[in-house]
Amino acid sequence: MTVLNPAAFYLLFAALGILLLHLLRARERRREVSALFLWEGLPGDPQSRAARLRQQIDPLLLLQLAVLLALTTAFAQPAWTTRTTSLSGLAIVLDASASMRTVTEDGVTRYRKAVDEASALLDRYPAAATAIIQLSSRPAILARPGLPSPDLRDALLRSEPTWYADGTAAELRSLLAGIGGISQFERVVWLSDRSLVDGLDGFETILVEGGENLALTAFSVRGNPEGGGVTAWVTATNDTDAYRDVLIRIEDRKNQTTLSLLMPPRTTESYVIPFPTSSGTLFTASLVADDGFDGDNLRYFSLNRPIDVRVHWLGSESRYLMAAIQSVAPVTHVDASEDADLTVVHGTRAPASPGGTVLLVHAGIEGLLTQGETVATERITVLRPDHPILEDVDPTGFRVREAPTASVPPSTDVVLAADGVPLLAVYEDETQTVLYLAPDLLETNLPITVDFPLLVRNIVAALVRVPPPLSYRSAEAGEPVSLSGLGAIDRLYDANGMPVVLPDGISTFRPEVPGFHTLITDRGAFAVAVNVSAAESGVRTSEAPIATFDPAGQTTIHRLPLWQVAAVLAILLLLAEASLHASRRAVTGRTR
Amino acid sequence: MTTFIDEAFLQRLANLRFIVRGRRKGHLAGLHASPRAGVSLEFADYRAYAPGDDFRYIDWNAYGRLDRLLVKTYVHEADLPIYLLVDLSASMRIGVPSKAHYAAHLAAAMAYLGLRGLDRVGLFPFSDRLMPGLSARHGMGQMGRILRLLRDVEPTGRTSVNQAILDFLSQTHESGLTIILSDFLTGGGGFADGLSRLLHRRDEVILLQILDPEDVRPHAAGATQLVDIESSRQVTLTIGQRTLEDYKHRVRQNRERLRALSLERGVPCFQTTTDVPIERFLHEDLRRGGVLR
Repeated sequence: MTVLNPAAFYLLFAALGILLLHLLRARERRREVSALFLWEGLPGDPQSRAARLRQQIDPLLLLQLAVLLALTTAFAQPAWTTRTTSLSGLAIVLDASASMRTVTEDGVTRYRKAVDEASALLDRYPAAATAIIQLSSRPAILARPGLPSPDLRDALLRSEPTWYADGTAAELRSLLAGIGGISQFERVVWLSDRSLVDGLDGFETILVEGGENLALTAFSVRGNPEGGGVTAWVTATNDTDAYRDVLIRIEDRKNQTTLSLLMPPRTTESYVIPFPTSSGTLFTASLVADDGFDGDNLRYFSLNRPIDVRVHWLGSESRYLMAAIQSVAPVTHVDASEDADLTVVHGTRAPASPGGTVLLVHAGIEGLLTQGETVATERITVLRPDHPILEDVDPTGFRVREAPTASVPPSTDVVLAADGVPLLAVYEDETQTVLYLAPDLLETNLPITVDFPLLVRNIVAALVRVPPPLSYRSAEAGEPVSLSGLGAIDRLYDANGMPVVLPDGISTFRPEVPGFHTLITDRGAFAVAVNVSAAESGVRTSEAPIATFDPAGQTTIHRLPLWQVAAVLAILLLLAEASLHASRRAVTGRTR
Repeated sequence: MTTFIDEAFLQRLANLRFIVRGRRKGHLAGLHASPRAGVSLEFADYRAYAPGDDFRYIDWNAYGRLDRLLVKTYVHEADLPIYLLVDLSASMRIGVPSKAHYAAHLAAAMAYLGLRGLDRVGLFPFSDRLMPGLSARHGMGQMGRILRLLRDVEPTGRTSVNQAILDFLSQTHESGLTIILSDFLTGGGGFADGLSRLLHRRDEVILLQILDPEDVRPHAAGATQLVDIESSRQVTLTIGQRTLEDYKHRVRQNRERLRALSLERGVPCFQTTTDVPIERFLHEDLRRGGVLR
């Protein structure tokens, strides 16, 4: 029942006036009669209590008050309100990111609370028109429209939050498009501890609150340059409203070091923790604290070295060149060019092209690139300043006293030249990639410049395409991790030791749980450290922008006006009152 | 007083006529029997033929059977003055519709019946005395005057039926049918004297007592200040069931006295209340009572 004009109830104050008039009239209850002599001398009746009461409660007064009440009710415009929710479609979108694992003060996770809310929604909608979606960085459809009600509820109740990062509205939109588009759902309910900040119009957000969190949001380890132990970098967050005593522990499966802290509320601090006794490569940082979400109290880091570069060396040795290559990646010498990642030809002329990737330093290849007489060179010209080989390199500081002339294939890309003599060039065809560095290193200042290692790094990277090392960046759960460049994949185990099946030809996988994953290839075993996304540690519902949507758009409100009923009642009561009043006036003879 | 006569109502009275019990002498031919035998459609008697009688009135059928000349005589129909004495004292204001309204309505209906019967009708409103009225006249023009008078006179003053009759007798000298419409709720002396004088003048008298239902069956309860509408005298009374029964008993006695007086004087008396439809009163009570036919 809804009253559209509550101000009308002020009319009830008129009842005071009616009562006052009746009190005044009651003081002179008179009755005119045709012949008083017929009444004179009659003995009066002793008045009973009931009769006195009846006399005090005048039916006319009651009728007038009833008329006033009915009129007031009519003016107040009462209406019987019913809300009918359209049954044409409901999409329940559950936030299944890692932060939904936070245990609230009620002892259940945010995700379970969201499931309870969703379950209540299911009661009001037909199963055939309901879809349930889990949104994270890897969205999933729990139930499509058309699923029987028990299956729908079962899918909802059996669902669990993931360890993944938050999903985006674009991902959700894409997922909804896959099941027929958002337009088929009149109501889309987003159950989460955050709003969709990049939002979708028409979403109704139900925020699931509760729980507090302390977290490690970053963790990395570097070996000490002097060779003994490692140093850990840790970022910790106290996302509560209180000072908290915490203990940060760094372990390498053999040794550990700890750091005890008092963290102020709502702070994020970074710490450098020396770990000189460490000799391991797999590190775990743990935050010992009591909070609602322990998934981010642990972070993992793997100090795996990059894979070795297999080098086949032809010609004379060059300590400077070898040192520069080894600074890029560990080097393993092999005897045959077929087994090599890189063939280095130094100070000689190879009889034929070894194929693959070849680095010619003051050398040539018979029939492909031959050096001529040596000429003095003075000024170096940068012909391709934007070439990747020159990334981070300043060639203007290079000095080359002399260099041999060379006949190069027409398609050779000359990067540096001096007085018409190519100094640095790249040649590529279908079978080989050749990088040509013309001068004898000893006739240049290259070995003593800071740019030389950078140049060699670029050269090796261009030739060998060594994959980026996994060391200084850990992967996140749910995020694709490339395993290429680590050799032929044999097996992959997740953090719980369960095998992960990779389709043939696929060298990328999405870890589902945090922890150390183990990859076994023909080049050995590699550890992949997987952590919860740092973004999941900073989720506080109170800080999340609350997007509220008016559900009226999905709910139809029917109002059945009742003022006519009240008005008719008022008229009937008024007629009754008038009739009674007229009959009384007839009795008293006042009316003609 | 508002207009209360409509055409349809009058049409429904078209088949009613006054019945006068005695032979009345009248100046003009009317529809009421006269002591003088005359020409009309209503057969009166036979008498022996005498020379000079109109041959048209010899009953030749009787001559065939009896071998005697008999002459048919007919009732001579003469007009009759009808006097309507209407009580318009203050006590007639009581009720919805008021007794005055009811009485006026009834008087108008009876005036119509009289005028339609070619009688002369006069109207004399009264309270404690006779008010200016209308002397008896023929024709429907008189109907309009009667209605206007009934409309214009406001009920006021005390009731004195006796004084009104005396005033009436002093103003009219021809006897006729005198109909008195009143509630006859007179606390003081009655009107037996006036009634006797009317009868002595050989008037035919009809008494119509009109009461309000609340006069007969009041619904008052509790401590009530009773005010006489005519005299403004007051009596405070705690009215209960017993008091009401006593009052009704007194009203019955009052009505019985009126009936006894009318029986004693051979005057028809009819009692009604304002909740009885006038048509029903005319068609049932007055027709059954021999006033109308």
